[in-house]
Amino acid sequence: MATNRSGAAQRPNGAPQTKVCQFKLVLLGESAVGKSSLVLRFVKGQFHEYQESTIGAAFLTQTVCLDDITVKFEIWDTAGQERYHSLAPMYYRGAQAAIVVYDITNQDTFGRAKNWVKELQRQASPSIVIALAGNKSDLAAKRMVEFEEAQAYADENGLLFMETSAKTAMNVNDIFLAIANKLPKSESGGGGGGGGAGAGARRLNDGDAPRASSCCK
Amino acid sequence: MDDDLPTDFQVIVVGTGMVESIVAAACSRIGKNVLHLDSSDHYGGLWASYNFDGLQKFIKEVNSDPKRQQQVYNLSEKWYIEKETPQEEKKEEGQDKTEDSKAEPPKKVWSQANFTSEYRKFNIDMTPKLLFSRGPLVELLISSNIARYAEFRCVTRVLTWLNDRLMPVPCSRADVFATEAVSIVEKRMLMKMLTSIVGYNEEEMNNEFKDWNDKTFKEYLTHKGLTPNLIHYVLYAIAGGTDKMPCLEGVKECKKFLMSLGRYGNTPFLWPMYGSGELPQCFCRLCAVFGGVYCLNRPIDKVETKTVDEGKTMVTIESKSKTLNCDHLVIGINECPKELLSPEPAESCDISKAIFITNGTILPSEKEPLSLLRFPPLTEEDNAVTVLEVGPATGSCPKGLFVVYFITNKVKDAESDLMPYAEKIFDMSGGDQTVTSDKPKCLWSLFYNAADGGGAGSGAASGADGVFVCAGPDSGLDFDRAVSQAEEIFKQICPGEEFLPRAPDPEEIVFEDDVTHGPEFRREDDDADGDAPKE
Amino acid sequence: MHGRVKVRTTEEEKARKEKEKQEKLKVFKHAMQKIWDKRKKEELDLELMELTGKVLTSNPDIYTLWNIRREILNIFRKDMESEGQQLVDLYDAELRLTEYCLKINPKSYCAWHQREWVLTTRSNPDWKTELALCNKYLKFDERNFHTWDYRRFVISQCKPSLKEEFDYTTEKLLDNFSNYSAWHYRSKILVDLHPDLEAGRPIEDEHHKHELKMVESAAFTDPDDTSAWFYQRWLLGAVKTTVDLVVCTISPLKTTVAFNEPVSKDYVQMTTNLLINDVSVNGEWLPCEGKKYNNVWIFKHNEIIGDNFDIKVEYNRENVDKLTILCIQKNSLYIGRNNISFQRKYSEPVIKELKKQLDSCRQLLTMEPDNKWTLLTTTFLLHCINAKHYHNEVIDILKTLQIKDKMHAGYYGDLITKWSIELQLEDDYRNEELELKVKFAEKISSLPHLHYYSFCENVNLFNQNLTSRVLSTLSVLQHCKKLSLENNNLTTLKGFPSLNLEELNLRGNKDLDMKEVEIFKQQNNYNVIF
Repeated sequence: MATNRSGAAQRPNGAPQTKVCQFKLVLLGESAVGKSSLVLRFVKGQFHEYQESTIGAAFLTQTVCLDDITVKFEIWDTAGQERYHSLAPMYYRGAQAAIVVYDITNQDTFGRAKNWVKELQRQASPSIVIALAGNKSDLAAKRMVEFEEAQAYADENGLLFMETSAKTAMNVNDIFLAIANKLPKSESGGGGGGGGAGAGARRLNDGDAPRASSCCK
Repeated sequence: MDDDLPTDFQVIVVGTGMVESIVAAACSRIGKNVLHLDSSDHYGGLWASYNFDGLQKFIKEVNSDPKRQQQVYNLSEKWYIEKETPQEEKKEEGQDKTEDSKAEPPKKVWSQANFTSEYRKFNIDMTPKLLFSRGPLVELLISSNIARYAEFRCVTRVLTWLNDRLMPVPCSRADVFATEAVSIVEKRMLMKMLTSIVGYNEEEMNNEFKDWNDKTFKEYLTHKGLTPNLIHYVLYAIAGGTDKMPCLEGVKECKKFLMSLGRYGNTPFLWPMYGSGELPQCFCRLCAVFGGVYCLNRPIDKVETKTVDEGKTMVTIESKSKTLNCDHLVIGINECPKELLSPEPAESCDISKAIFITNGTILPSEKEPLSLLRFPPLTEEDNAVTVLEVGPATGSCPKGLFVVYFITNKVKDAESDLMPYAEKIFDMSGGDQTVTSDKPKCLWSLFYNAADGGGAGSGAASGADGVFVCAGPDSGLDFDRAVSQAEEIFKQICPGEEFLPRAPDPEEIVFEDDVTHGPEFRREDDDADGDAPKE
Repeated sequence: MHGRVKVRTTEEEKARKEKEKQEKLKVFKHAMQKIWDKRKKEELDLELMELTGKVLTSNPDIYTLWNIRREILNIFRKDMESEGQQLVDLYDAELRLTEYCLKINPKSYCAWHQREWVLTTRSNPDWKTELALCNKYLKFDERNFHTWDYRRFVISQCKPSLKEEFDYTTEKLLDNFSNYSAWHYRSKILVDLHPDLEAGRPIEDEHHKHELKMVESAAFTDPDDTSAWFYQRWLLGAVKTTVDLVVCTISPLKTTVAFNEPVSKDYVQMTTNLLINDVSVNGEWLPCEGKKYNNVWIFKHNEIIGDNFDIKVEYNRENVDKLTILCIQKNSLYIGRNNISFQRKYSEPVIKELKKQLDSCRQLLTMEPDNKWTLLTTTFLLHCINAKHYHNEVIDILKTLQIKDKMHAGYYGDLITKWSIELQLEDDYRNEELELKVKFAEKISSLPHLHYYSFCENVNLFNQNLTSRVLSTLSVLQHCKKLSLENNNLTTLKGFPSLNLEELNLRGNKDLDMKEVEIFKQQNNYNVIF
């Protein structure tokens, strides 16, 4: 896999890869299963044993180059709102992908993960790509959730599944790449906005300069 | 299970309505330690959006709890369709099939059971509002970088009720060019009027209109020689006024409308995807991103203020047998214990509202419309009625349906105030949904009145020091009042601090120790290597 | 405090940006150096493709680099027998690169040109996709004429239906009618899509009316937008016009034929035939104004013209019956005049529409009597509906405009001249007038339609506002003997054509240089009064 940190992705002969699809990806799961650690490992290549919550980061972005297109992820973290079961529904609005994370050393978190999957299946866009990540695979010795059990559950529900370790980086890039490959890359599907609300819905930004011609002057 | 909730905060915000959420975000953004609570299991308070099931729950709760009827009352829900879909729907005639393949697919016949099974596809607003493209909320969303949390749709048309039918209002230059509803001379007059209004700065405006202080906008437009048609468009549809509207106010409303043109779409207005109830959540997310702690389902039982040393006020809150302490309490009017409210509520005008779910748009168009309809008063006593029609593309309802909101200032009660208007544009008779008629069928309706809590909190005043009561929704089209009240409260809590400075973009965030690049990132192409990367 | 985020301060951000800029510059210089080196060594290979591509993505306007790329592609093209996958990929990559560059600079001539080159060089170019791309760019900037230009080229290749293209201009104009390109393109399609073949008019009535309405709507919505005006003028001018013979003049010395429009030698030879005493005369046609297309042609022949000859001119226009014009002797000249009319001929429905628009203008003028735009439109409508009937009103309005809109006084003056002369010409022809003399009060500032007076022996332009810029137009006065330019504003005699005059009056041109006139006198053997 080739991820590219900066600049326009290049193709042979200097021609730029013009097709860039942007997707909103949300992380879900109980507190302390390692959601932020997974993102930081993927985006920054870092891991910290005692990760503080990521204050001030509305979301992070990372780009993945596939064969013929570039996928830009806009990765949203829960900002701690899940802690007292107070995650706002706007969080997963328009998300085209989700990673539901549990901790393989904690059976409860797997149960909660299943609830999140259910919630997404009911609430989110029907075409959302969901991946299940059994995190902390470096702590296999303390394993409480069997790989086979999770795999069976994932198969049943049509989820991507991997056991990951933000600490050792195992499967971290792979799970994002797997999602990138599975996302539909139609022109409208991964439009510039990053949202999944479909054609016509838009984000507001400062750059929307008025076209002098269209107002009454 | 919430017992690990910390107990000491600088600011506690109770209620997740619009004003409360903006204050919470603003405080958290500049580094205040914020706890944000709500007594219910969802965000938004009086500003919430509900799915169909949530709405049923809401109606039931309000109707059974007199305390909650201080804010919302006179709820009256009606069905115009059968409980179940009749089974004999499928017609097995060969002739039908061939016809169907040519003609449009037959209209779906909706039953109450369909609504129940598709309840999640509804997002119904209790406080539907539009945003002016250059209104204070849009500017705030952009300047604070909160805009990135939400998506919007442009209102596609502005309609009015003229000569007993619905008419699109030409409001932009392109509209005026394209419309066939006004004569060529009227086009010139209209453009001249609009251009001159846009051109006035504050001073010129006061100058031009100094002799019009005690006159109405209508008198001004008449004086300027506008035809009755044009007066209708400008006065009722663009300025959103009535015959009584004072001249200067009309000019200012027009200017506001016109200044918002051309930024995003063909009309000056935006509608938040999934409803206005999303917007408080956006501010809450920013609050959380900057460290705010969130806890729903957490009613408060008691609020006390006491003076600690150096004359500082401390507010304590009892909640689920836990005591929470803070320097400042910000509380929504719907969450607020009676004793904290100012003893005599200022005079205010309550609001009459109605929600309709219909099987089609009020005025068919090529693409799914998103409409603002401004109804001039039908009788002398009435007020103007604002109508918003939103369709499936906004995430408000399943395909084939439209949700239509009616808002006016209360005269009698919601149903008597609004039914005459609804009957103009809907078929309220129930009956066969497959019959094509010129009006969409109303399938379900809800009338209700809402208190305009503006009086309680317009000055953010409350009975106690350190406590700020936030007003509920007002009848205005945009969120102007909520934004200005939130800013006022914030300035009292955090004097001298910037109100919602721009939050950083992801690229601007640096992590300490941010030296190593991620693994497996492709190296920058160096000159020695011109080959294309394989893979 | 690991992983705690902090935001760069503006200072840090500035420093970072500056550093980035410096680095970019370094990379750029390095790459350019390498490109020149390779070029010198004639290493025209994929590596050079990649290098030039990289530079172009940030600087699309370095045209040399595009040239290099075409060189390389041409080499590949020759090397490969048939267009293999590799070449196809290269072409595709080239299109992607230009697309990317055009996103950065949509007005990059060389990037547009490169696209055109790729598509015309490769086999099986996909014009449909190309058209979609043009439309996409026009969505971002509907007035970019580079895109419109390129789009027209694409259209010439993929040839969509005229109707589709016409509808496209409608769509663009509804978005924003301040768009010269769209109006212009619309005018081009309109005459192909809806010509009135039966009546021989350029545009079918219904469509002519519709367009007039549409452009009127634009003009009333925003009179300050000039693009609609150009289209309106074009529409008003879109009437049946045919070439016609105006006058032929035969003197013992010279024979001339004047046409209403400039025509070519071939045309004159084919259509025009001089008969003297019923015998067709052979001769040679010479241009009077010395151009390829001329208003007046001189017929050189060997016949000797005497008194009481029977002289006729036969004029054979295509699809029209032969016209025979009798030339009647006046003094030493034989003059054959055709019927002339300057009135534009619209169909009844179009006239009705113009009258309606005139009413709207008049209505508007009661509200805004000083609006210069409405005033000017009114004059055009009046003139087009019935030039003769409304002549006085038109002149009055134009004079008002000269005062109100001093900036364009000259333009209004020329209109007054032109429309007054046209009116006078119709009278002069009807009355078989023999000399040219300005018969209206307004002073003329130019000499429109002067070839209509090519038969005059006496041309009196006394006391007008003529300047030296009109001198060259005098060349059509082939039979003139006495020419008066007394009391005008001539400043020089440069450009004065060679004419067989007897008398030229230059008195009262204060700024004319005495010396120049002296030299002029010596060069010409006629009487110059000064």
